[in-house]
Amino acid sequence: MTKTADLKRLEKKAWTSYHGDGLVDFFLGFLLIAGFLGYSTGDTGRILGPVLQLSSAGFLILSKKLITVPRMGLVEFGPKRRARKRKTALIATVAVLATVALLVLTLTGNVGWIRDNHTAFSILLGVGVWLVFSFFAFMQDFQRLYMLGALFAAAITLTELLDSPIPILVAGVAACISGLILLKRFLRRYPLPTEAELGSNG
Amino acid sequence: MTDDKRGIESLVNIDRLIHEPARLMIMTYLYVVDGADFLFLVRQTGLTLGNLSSHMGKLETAGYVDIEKKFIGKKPHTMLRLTEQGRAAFNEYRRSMERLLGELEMPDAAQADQSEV
Repeated sequence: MTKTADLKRLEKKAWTSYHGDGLVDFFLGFLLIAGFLGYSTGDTGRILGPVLQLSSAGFLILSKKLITVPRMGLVEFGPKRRARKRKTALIATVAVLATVALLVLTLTGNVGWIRDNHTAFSILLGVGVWLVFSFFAFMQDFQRLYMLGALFAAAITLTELLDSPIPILVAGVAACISGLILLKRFLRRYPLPTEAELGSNG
Repeated sequence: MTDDKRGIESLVNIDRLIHEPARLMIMTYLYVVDGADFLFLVRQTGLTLGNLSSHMGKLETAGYVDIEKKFIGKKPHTMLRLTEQGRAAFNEYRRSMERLLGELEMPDAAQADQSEV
């Protein structure tokens, strides 16, 4: 039992070190900042926000490829991790669709029930966001996501309650600072290997 | 032959290829993931690339590790995986060590103190 636990711990260590680059923090921070920009720029922002948010997903994938893999190497995790990744992707898709549906309702003016129960809706929205993040954190063994989820949830709830995008900006900057600290630590711990070090093994 | 002797003597049959600490570390990492490249193993194990290559050669010759070389763009890239045989050998090694260490009873504290005097 203990030996199985040790193997699991080793796998988790490999997983955690592979995701200790702070890029997810950056990604989430950028999502919030893009949301702030969208919110603050009026009608044009309705397009600008989602465009920036979509491009941040590309930024995450690209930076993983250009920053993490050349320093840390490439690893393929086992079937359990892959299955959990699929479930997480499914829930993420549902969450995105729910957000889009809510956005459509807002744009089409069908938000009477939200206006009537605004405080409760704002709190419920925050709780829902945190629950989705917690699910991701649990499924992906990614403890930091509980905290980032709380930051996201608080920012969204406060923005709704105060009718101001400032909490989103503050939370976005905080997440980016967290990402910057982690990235700095990651870059120091895993410098780029030289060609001579790598030889023909890549 | 006493049970104790049988326990100790089974050490002779331990897979020495896996028993070497660096190779045991490599096998353990490859056991818990599907596959990894040289750089990842260097980062995780703390071995030098030369050392890792040398151990990999031995594990490949034994049929425990599959070394897949390919090009990503213009750069060579090597992925390493445990073969079925390698996984079975690692499992057998774990079982043998567990059995062996389980059979070796620790003397109780009092006996240990007496033997020191």
